[in-house]
Amino acid sequence: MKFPLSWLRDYIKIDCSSEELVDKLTMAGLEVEQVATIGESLSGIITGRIDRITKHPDADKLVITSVFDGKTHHQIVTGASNIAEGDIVPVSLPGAVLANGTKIKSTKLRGVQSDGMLCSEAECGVAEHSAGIWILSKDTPIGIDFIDYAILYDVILDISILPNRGDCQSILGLAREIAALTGQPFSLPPVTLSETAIDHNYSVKTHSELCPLYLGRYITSITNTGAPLWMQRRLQLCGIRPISMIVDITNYVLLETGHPLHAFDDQKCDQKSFSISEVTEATTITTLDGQERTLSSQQLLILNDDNPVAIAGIMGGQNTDVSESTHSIFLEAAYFDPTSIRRAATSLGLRTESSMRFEKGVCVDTVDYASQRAASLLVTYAGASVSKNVITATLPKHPCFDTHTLTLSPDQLNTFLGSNFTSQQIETVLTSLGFKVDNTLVTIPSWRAHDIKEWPCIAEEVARLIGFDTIESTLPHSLPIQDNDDPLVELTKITQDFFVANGFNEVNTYPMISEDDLNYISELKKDDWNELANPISPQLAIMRPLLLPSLLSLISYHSTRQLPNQVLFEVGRSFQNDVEISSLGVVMSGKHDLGAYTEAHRALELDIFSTLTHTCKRFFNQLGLDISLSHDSKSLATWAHPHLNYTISLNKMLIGSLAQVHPTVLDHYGIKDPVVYLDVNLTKLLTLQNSNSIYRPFSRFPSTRRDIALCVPDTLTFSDIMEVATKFKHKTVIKTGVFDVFESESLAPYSRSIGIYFIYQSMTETLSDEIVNKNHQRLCDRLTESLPVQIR
Amino acid sequence: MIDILNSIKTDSISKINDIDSLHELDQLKSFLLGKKSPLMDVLKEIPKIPAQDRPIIGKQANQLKEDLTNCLNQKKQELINKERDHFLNNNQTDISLPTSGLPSGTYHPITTVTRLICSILNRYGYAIKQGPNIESDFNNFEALNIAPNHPARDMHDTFYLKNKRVLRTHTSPVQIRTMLMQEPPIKIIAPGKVYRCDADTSHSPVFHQIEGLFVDKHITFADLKGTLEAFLQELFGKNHAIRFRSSYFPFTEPSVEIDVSYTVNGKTSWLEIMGAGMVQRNVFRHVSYDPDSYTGFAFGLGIERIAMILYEIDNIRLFYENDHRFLSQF
Repeated sequence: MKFPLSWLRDYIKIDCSSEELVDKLTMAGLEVEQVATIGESLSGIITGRIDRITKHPDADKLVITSVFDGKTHHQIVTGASNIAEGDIVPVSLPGAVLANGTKIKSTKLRGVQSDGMLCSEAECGVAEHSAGIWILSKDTPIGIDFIDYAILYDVILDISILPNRGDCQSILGLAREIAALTGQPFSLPPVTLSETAIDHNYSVKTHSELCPLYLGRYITSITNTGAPLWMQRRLQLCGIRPISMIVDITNYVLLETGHPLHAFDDQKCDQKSFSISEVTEATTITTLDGQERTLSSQQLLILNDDNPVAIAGIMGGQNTDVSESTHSIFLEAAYFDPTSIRRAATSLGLRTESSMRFEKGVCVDTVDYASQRAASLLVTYAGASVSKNVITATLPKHPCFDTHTLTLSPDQLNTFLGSNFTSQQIETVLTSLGFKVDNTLVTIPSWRAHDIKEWPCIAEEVARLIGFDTIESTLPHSLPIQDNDDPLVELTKITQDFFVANGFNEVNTYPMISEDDLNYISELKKDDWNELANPISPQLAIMRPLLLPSLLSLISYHSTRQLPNQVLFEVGRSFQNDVEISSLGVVMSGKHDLGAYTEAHRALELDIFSTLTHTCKRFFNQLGLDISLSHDSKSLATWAHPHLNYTISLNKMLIGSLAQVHPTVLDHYGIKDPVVYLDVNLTKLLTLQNSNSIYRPFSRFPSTRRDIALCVPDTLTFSDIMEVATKFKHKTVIKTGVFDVFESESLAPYSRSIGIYFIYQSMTETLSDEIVNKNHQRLCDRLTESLPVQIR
Repeated sequence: MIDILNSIKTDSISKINDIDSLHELDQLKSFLLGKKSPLMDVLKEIPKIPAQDRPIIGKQANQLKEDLTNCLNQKKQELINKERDHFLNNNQTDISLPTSGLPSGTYHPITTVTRLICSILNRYGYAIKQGPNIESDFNNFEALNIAPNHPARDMHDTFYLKNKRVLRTHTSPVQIRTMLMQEPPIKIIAPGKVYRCDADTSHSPVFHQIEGLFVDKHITFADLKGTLEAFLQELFGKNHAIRFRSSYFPFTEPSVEIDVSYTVNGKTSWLEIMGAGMVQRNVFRHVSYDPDSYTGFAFGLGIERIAMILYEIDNIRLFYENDHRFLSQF
């Protein structure tokens, strides 16, 4: 909210510099976001009356004016066409400086002496552009300092008012706060209102607890012209556009006191009986901005007879709004329940200066003060008459009228804060803020009733004003035994460390994806999506069920930037139905020759599928987990290559998958090179703790190796062979592996050669060649009997 | 005989000294000590000399044999060393060529900064806890004293799911989860992702926070100050002024914002670093703690903000673009 210093100075003496004031406010929780100084360069602008306008002898577009400043006449040549004799205008005489820094000098224009300049609003710094000279109202005194009169120079503080400080959403409220901060006295300026015995038929009833106080004044004989210039200027400085006397005065009082008021046009109120009630069935009303709005149950309406005329506390209706021809009004001042106003404003999507104040809570004690203030301004500036007969509807037992007290001793306060404030200090601070202190009994001022609910709030007020920085720092005395970290924290750390050490780059992505992304990687039904109700874009609309789409987007991003070879991983959240899991996602794309430049090294270019599979095995090995990789076409994921894929399980529980990504999915991301993806459910992994390792004795006798080279048809896999080998191998076989794979024309068509080694070792003796040969021959026989393979 | 032996000795040593290769040395060895060598000839003559001279001559001849053997071995080792030195000194491998092999992986800067902050607070005795990103309205708002239609909801631009749950707007729900599960003392930190739908160029809809909570008997605001001053001095260095400025959070009272004075390009200003405060009594009531028995403080900070200050990063979106040319700098 914007606060012009000149307006605050009407109510409070500000001795310190504006920098000091800004610092004090900011430290006390009223954060000054911006300090704007306007009209800093202006100087010497006065008001003058144009007494005579004559043609310029040598220029069609110029005229010669004679301007009277109350003492002398000045001859000023101008090109403006919107002026007439008798107009009162801002005048800058030689020596004056305009808003843009131009210094005015006497000069000759086409041969005619010109001693000054008639000013536009832009030249006075109150508008960006203006079409002509600023014509002031006829009652403007002439020869006065116009910079002061029209508030052309001011310092405006833009303060972010925190949600608990509704009481500071007004000039008077902030003045009271500044008074407490600077040790100045403050009291509400008295209002003198002369009321007249005018009869009217208005009546008001409240039918809702949400409106415990409603007060109406009948005001008539209003001269509804423009508001005085200073009032218009103050509204402008606070960001409100001046409209008409009645509207401007209600807005002015809103800014000044923090109380939203509303004026109903008397002539448009067919019936004079007002009531406030909660909507029971959907009701429509056209608000004064011309929008038709539908209210639903529990929202508060102001009714004229049965006709809705305003959405309580938010906006008036078009049917009773004031216009230029309005001369009599019914002026509303009220207290509405903050929560109900906020609920209604939120559901209508309509936030107004009025709703902003009601929802943070206005002070119930000053509702009538604000009404009187507006009425007195109408009397003073619009010649209005105010009826003595004030209409009030009230629920006197409503808790908003209660006086609140709290008990807090200085000891209790100091124990809580760890401070050493004296009872004198505490009392001084609280009194300056409007609290009443009687020993340990503290009475809360009515304007803080929404905010001060418990004794720590009072401690906060004391610390805030004396300064948190004055409390001497200590370290806690208690030293509880440190609790366990979440086990996921440690697993995440090990996972990150492993993949970084193995050359993978960690990324951090948004967990939201688009509907398209989702459909390409899963067959989840729409009901099972974790879909956002209010996404900021369709690209970020659904919580991802796995990390793949996020990582593929990054592969795509890099491949369009000449960086197609990526090894990325992320430990992040994914969301499957109602379950939120911590997932590991790893992708490898492109070519990885490890930077080789010799022929021998280049030949070692990594196969990304095999490399990631090996990395995956090493990862689980490091975790001490004995996983099994299996090729299971039944549980094949939508995104996976039909052949190059594995499911990863631990203790027969599925914990992840590893596969080349299906080219259809890659097409969606515009990725040309193959991508391999590893997905591990870390949350599930945590629940599957392997038993502790137990030492097993190992053989110290020498081992013997035997090799077999098999000619194998392409349809048979290595794992098919190993399945049979595992079944028939002798118990002295302690290790097997592949030493050679090749394809050649010398072999049978559609076949390849696989060389497999077997290591024989006994726990109890050195094996003789005869025994090993016998066992190995038996294995070879079994292999050739059971499988369509030949020993080469 | 003695003279012959002496001349063999002189002659042999001179021959050994002249040798330049191991191969020649081998040949010389058989010439000097073989069956047809001059020394052997002498040894063969020994039975023919007078008996009283035999021990002297025999002893001298054997001594010569031993000396020549030692001399040959010494020469052999010399030549081996020379050959090795030659081999070592003539290695033409260009070790300045680039290395090849596994590239180095990198941590995301968010991870690095999270670990940095957690490691400091871990030492202060705070255990690391985590919570879900999709939260209930109760944990994210109500239990933290933000009732429906509380004006403070304006401070949180909330993403809602279609099932009415929310993407947590702060890491504070982890406070609630922990307090609902455990009795005081509670001393935890909770790092993690949070979500706000107020994205513009200076905001990101997803960012990271670390939450801290310490609840026990007799915890004071002065303790909050002391703890966070120590923490911030470790994080930024000792020569930064720290100030505690009044603020408002529904779940703490008193509430403060903590600013650190920071100099960039010679210009010193206060940077808003974290929010903190004493736990609001209603929060204790929501988790069935007795607010008259316990007090506590809570604090929270944005990880991106810290990373941006420490690494002089000027755009928050760089963290989520994950451009290799950005990530490879950390």
